Amino acid sequence: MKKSLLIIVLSYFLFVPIAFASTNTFPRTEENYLVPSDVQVTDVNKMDILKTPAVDSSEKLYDFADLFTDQEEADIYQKMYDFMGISQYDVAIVTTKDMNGFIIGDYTNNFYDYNSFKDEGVIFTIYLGGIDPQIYMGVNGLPESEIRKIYTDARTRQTLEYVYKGIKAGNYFLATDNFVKILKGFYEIDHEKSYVIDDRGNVVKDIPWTEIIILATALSFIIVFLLVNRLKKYNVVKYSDNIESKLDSNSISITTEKDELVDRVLSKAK
Amino acid sequence: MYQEDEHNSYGIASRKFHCRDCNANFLSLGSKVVEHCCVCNSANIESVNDVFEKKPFIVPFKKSLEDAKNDYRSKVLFHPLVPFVFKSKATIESIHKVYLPVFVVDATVEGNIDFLAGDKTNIMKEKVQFVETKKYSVLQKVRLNFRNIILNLTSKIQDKLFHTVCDYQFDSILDFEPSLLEDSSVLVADKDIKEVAESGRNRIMKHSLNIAKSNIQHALKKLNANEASVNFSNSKEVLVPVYLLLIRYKDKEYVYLMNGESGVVSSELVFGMTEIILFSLAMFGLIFLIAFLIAYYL
Ligand SMILES: [Zn+2]
Repeated sequence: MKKSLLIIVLSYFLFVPIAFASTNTFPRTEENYLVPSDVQVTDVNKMDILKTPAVDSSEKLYDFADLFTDQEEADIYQKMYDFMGISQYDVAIVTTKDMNGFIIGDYTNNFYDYNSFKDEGVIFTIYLGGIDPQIYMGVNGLPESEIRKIYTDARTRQTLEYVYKGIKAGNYFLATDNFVKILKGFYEIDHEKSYVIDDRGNVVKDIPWTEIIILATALSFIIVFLLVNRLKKYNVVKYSDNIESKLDSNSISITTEKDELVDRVLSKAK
Repeated sequence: MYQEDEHNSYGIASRKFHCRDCNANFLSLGSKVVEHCCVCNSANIESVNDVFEKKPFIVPFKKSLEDAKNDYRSKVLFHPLVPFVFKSKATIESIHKVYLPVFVVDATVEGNIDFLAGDKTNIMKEKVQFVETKKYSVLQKVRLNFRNIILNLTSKIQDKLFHTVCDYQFDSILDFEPSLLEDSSVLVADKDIKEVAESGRNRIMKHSLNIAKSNIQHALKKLNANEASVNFSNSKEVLVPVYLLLIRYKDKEYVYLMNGESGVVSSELVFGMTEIILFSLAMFGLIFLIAFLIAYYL
């Protein structure tokens, strides 16, 4: 009996490693705002702070909308954890059906700012409370910092455009999984260059196909045109009669026997 | 002058062939096996009746068949737009060593040529501009001697192409010697002698008129009446050496002709549409690849 219980417990841990379903929030009060020490509570931000969920910043994945199974959460968490290990950036993913009256951008940024995440990090929010789903990606870091150079506005837009397709189709797990994959993809490539996300969610070099095709077409046209012209000139047989060389120059005798004026006409110039 | 007789026969044992494809008639001397027409390389040839005897002069080959092949190769082989048929081994191998029958003549142009000439001058008269045109009647008495003018006797080679290469030196002209013809063919003259002579006279007269014209000291000049005549002398029949290649491409014939003595070449090349397209695609592919690699690695 004890043995079988142990087996059940073991297998539980083996197949469903840890229960990640975290919807735990802590109540913020005027006595304890539960904000990071660098956040100054003022009359301006007081209400926003109180409306923003306070969470355990080590959990990283906050599935308030309950979109993922435990297994899926474990899967996503593992990948987030890997990425955080490589990049040293923080990552938070939030799903919710209620943004406490915030618009998604404010909700997301407040969530990151008023919980104890690292100074540099990325937060991704999926909101399912409206007619259409909404997603948002916040990049935190000083303007000139490396993280801002990696996750530029353009790349953030590329990422969201790609991920939104999955969200819209209801594939929340796959879309979120891809989101983490893309984060990692952009981190690993050369930050200065242009990259795009391919059909499978891989970050790949952005090859300017149209420009290359136009360039190749134009250049090859010019080269062939020039070549045809040059060779045409070179190839045309210059038919020539060498009769001039047959003239015995010593024999030339031309005498002007007569050179008479026969007529003189005066006309007005045009 | 020359007589209209059997100028297509060379006084020793020779075999005469007729090409059923291009109608060329040619002779072969010695032991050489003749399988192809020396003009169009067709195998559709027949041996015809025996020939008569006559001895022409001969200008020997100084360039080898290999020289001709190399020159031809250099012109076509690395030329991306020339059709493949021009480059095929079979084509290069069908360059023939051929003697062409020509008449070599001296010519004298003699007589009076009457020109109308004129000068125009601008004159200001009471603030009005006038043009004064003075017209002259100019009579030139001309005497010019030409030496060793070559008259092509075979219709198989176009005059304009042949004239381009025929800078033969007749100082080294030899009496006919059969061994000189050992591995070559002799194209048989097939042109009407009177027409050949007439076209020769016209060429000479045209050139003479230009000389006479350039001797007139007026700005405007126009031929009025020509009483000069061209007289031939010292005519001799000569075999001159050429390397000949005829390439058929898209129902047209292109000729490669090399002077067998001096190596001067006249060649008619053409571009193939297929080759232009293939070359364009190859260029496109290459530039595409380079641009891609640059975009990928830089
Ligand atoms: Zn033939």
